[in-house]
Amino acid sequence: MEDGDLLRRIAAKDLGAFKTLVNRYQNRVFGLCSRLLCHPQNTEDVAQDVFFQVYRSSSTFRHDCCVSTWIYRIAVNRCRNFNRDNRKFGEVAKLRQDLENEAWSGPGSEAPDGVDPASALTLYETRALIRKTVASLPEKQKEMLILNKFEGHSYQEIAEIMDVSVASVESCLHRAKLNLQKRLAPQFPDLCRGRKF
Amino acid sequence: MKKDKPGSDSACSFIRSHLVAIAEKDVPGEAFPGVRDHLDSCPECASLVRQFSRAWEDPAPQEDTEPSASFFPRLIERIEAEERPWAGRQGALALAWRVLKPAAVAAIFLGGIFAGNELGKRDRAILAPEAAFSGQVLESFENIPSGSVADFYVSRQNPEKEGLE
Repeated sequence: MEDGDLLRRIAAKDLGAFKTLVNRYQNRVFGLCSRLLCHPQNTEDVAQDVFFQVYRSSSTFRHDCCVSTWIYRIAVNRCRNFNRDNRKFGEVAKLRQDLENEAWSGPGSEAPDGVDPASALTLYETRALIRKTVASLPEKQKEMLILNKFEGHSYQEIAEIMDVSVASVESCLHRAKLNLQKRLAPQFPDLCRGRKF
Repeated sequence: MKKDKPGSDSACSFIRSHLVAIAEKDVPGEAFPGVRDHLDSCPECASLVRQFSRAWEDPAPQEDTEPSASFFPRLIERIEAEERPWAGRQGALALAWRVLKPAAVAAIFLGGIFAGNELGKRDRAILAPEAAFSGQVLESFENIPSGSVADFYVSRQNPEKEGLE
């Protein structure tokens, strides 16, 4: 069944249709929330808020955009509100995130089968470093970069989700990548041995 | 290769500061041959770029982003709680409180200003300055004993008064 039809049935209080929609989107919403939130441990609560909002607002959905875009928009707004309300505890969350990242590189970390342990460890570390640095970007740049790079949305989809123009998405993503590059550079060991182009 | 600053133009440092662009194959045209040549000759940078590109391709594997088994049942519980008959009444009360609370705070604030203003008016019930001043001065002049030093000075300051007397 199409998403639009499911929403019409949800508007008529059909919990079966709601379950189908939740099953269809829960992993994507969960993934997005866990990346956008400064407290990933609150992901489940925020994801619940998102679907609760979907249920309550299903009757007011105008069917002028994709249901997925609408759900993503709700998720991004919920995460933004949550981060705004809990900003003062952000530092504690970052510290916890740092500790988790350090745990990745500990001796107990296991590499996937068939991968050289030393290089796999570095891959995990690099991923953790990228995630940590993305999380430190300004809110809007972080949201767009996560939607584009982590969630695989096109510029057009991001523009619809964030309710901005495609040109604005392009320029914001460009700035986000430059900013990310600037913040990542000092985190890698200095390889320079005086080589020049 | 474009040099950013004199003395800081090492290839390794350029690679480190353009990892995202290199991973996305978005290096400026004039720099690209230099980057490629350097990666062929520097195993450290080549390894770093390879690692970073792999991580950048898939920065967040979905291994830990699945909701728990109780996710949907809890959601349904919440919806059912919302739809109970008394929940609507509670919601209306909550909404009324949300509207009335700022109105009550504003009313208390304005009432305080008004009351303070009224109390201040009561304490400031004084005579007009001219009336108060002239009354006090005339009274003091009338009480000067004649023949005293003060009377002498007042007479000198105001010879008309002497003439009138």
